[in-house]
Amino acid sequence: MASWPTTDVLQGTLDMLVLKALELGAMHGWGITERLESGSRGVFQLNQGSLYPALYRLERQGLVSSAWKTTEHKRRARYYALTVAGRKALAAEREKWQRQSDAVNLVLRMTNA
Amino acid sequence: MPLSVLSRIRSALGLITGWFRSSDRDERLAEEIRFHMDMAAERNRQRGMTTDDAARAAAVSFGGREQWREASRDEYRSRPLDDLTQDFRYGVRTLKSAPAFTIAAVLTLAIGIGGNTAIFSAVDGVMLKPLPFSNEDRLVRLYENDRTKGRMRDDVAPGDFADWRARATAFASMATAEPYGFRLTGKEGTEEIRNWNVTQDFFAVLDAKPLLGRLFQPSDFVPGLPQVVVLTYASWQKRFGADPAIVGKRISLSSGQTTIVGVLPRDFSYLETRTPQEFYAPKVLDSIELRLHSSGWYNAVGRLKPGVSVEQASADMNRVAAQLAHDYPKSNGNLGVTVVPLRDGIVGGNSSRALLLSLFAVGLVLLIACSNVANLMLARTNRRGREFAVRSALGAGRWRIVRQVLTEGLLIAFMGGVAGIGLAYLGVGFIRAASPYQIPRVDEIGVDSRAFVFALATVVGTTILFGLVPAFRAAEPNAGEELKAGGRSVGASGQHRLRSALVTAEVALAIMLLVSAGLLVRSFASLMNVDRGYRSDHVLGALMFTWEHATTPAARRQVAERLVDRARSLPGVIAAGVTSSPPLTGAVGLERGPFTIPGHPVPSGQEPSAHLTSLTPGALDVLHMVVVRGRAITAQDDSASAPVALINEAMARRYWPGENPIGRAVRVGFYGAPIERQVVGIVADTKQSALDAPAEATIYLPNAQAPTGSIWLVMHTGIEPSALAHDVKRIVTEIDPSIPVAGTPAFDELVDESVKPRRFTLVLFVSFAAAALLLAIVGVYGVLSHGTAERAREFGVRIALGAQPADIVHMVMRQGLGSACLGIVLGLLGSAAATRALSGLLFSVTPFDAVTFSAVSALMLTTAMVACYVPARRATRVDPLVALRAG
Repeated sequence: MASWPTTDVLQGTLDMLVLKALELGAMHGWGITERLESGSRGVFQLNQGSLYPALYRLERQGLVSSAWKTTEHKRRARYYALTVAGRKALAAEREKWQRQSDAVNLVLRMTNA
Repeated sequence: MPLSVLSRIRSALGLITGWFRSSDRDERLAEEIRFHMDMAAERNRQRGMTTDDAARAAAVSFGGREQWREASRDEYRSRPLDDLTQDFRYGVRTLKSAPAFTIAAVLTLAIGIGGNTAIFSAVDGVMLKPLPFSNEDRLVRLYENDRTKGRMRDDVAPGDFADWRARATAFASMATAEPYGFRLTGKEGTEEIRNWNVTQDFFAVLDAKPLLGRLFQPSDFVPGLPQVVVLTYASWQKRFGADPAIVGKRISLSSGQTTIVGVLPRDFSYLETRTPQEFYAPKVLDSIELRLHSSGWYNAVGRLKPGVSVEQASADMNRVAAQLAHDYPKSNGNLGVTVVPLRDGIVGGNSSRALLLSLFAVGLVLLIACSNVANLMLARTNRRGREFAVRSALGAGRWRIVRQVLTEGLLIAFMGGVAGIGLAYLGVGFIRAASPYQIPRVDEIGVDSRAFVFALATVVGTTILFGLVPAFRAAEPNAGEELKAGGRSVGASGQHRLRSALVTAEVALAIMLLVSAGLLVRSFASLMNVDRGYRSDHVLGALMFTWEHATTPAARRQVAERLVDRARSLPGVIAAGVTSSPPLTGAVGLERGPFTIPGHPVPSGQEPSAHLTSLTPGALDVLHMVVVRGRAITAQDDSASAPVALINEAMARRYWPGENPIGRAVRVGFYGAPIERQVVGIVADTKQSALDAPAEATIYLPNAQAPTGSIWLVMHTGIEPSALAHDVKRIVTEIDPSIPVAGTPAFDELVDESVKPRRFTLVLFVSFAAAALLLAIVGVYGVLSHGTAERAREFGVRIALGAQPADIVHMVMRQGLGSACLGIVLGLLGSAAATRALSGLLFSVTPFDAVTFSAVSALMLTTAMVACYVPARRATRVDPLVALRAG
């Protein structure tokens, strides 16, 4: 089972993935877990607790906001939603990630020219 | 994650607000995790697990629950600050639960902090802020002094200045500024405006840079009317609408056109005067001025060479003065030079001294406020003894409790500071509005960042002052006893001694302020009742200069006659006259000249001098000046008749002691060669330069025999004098439209203006003293009423045992008045030591004025008795049964 990455280097990645999951619409913590699991086609098996420090961090940074709402099964849950700042941060992160992974791929494809 | 600045700020704020809400957040987090677990288990069950397995699997996928909980908590609060947070929240809660205490303490501190911040702002703006000149420490102002007459700071004669400049070696540059005035003819007619005429190096000395255009260059310094001028920023704004293309424009000054070559920056300010100077003009000392070695009117400023101290410059100038004394023994025999740092030359003086004393006074108010709040807090810690005991029994360390009480104190002080800054804004507004022009740089006063820093420092300082004692009291390790005493306070007697001592100190400080204010009030009253020797009510004056319109004595005489005739015919005017220098009108027109008494020869150059005033007979009537001996001047004393003069009593006393001066002669010139004039009368002394200055020897000459061009038309009016100002300007225009009228003050206003600095200081001190009295009385009342409330049980016992209400009142009042009386005695002793500092501000009242001292003591004693009587009465109403049962 692949555990959720928690090292400093990849912490930013978790934050980015959470933002991405919320881009699809407001959701509670459990729902975000499900979205990430299904979005990665099961590759990410979460160490799910680490989601919460990330959510509190993002909220403090003003990238997400939260409010109590009722789920479809009539249970109270804390719903998180992207803020405008969060949307901008996600775009910036996505672009940065793209550049980094392109670079990594280039290096990996390197041949003895 | 890259964060914008805004997000960073929000993130930090989130941490801070998180401290306050962390328990809410804990609950929220717990609920979120519970929900998460339930949902995960539910899914596991749907996938076919048993209920137990589903829950276990959910816990496994979640990971270490405590670990994540802590990691989440770290995101919304920061652990090392927990204790502080707790103190803070606890403090807020405690203060909320005691609103009366909180409001009283905050208001008390607001008065203290507000007053101090306002006065600090004034002192800072006037005295502390650097002058707008570079290398300010090298700038000095130079004065002429005459030690034999006790005059240390006279303005400088132009001839002396030229010699100083040529002979001194300590200076990189030296310049003078002559206060001057021109008539400016513009769209709105002709106006008299003020300026400085400055010599070549003036701007170099001050190292000024132009905002627009240029300053002066050597070719600008040509004899005669100025070809170019430099505007002040204020004048550029006000008179020329901040025209950006002003440089190169021409303006019409007196008898010539001149070009504006530059504008000074906003922060450039030289000496300030009643009417602000609007521009600078180049000045070349002419041959006549270069020969003038006594009686000067120039400001002299200099920039020291690098490394030269003020003392060295003084020594250098003393050497130069000695040379001049040798070269011009007649004029310079007694003259020396005073060199002071420019700052001192600009802001040194009685007004600044008064401001510093005010700062001291308002500091005392703050001390009283602090002891009041300390008293309130002591009373509270006393009541909260059980609470602190429980906390320390539960393991709170001594330091923790000290910190708790100090945090509460800091909260109170901070709120007091915020309210105080509000008060300071009001106070500064008042200071700016009420301050006389004699206080320099008053425009620099404002509640700015420096004032905020000051207020913050005051907040912290006061917290320590009033919070430390209650804090350590609270932390005293008597938990066991407190708990045993079941909530009744123990150790109250030591506490009470401390609080009584604070009250004594408050009363003593308040007495000092009351005595100071009382002395100023008495001085002011004496000053207003002083015999002025003339009447100022219903008198209107109009100052004008006729030199250029009436170039001969005969023409000037004629202008004066026509003015008086026309003024007399105005409805509402009862009498009219012309005089060259009415009382309290300042230096314009006030001549001072040498005279001799035939038969009393003195060596040439050592002639005595007197004020010289030229007036028409009507002026004596208008001002109600009293002829005490001989006769007044009349219309018959004209240019054709024998020259006569009046003298004042001061002159008669000094030069004809024990003799009758009537019929004797003085030899004196007035814009002309000295001639012999017969003394025909003596007039009562008038307050010429200030109400608090003794009269100087003065000679009055009939205007017909000594016509002058700087004249005041003075009128005794049957109606409000200012209502006639417009008519007066009209008649002057009718006589000659080109004669400028430089001002039409009602003479009562001049009196008011002359006492404005005193009134300003007086108002400050009276306000502070009133605040001090109020706070001290609240202190006396508070301690006593708290004391009697605590002793209710004792009073109950006494009453049950047969004590009469009078006995109880007597007992309580003796206790309260004891500390107040001790405070009064200490305060009077303190006053006797301190009021000497006020002596420069007093008038015909000694610093140890018995009336003030006894009146203040009586006032304090009476109010203290009232403050003690209320709790004493209350003590007699204790119901013995209720009191005993409550035990």
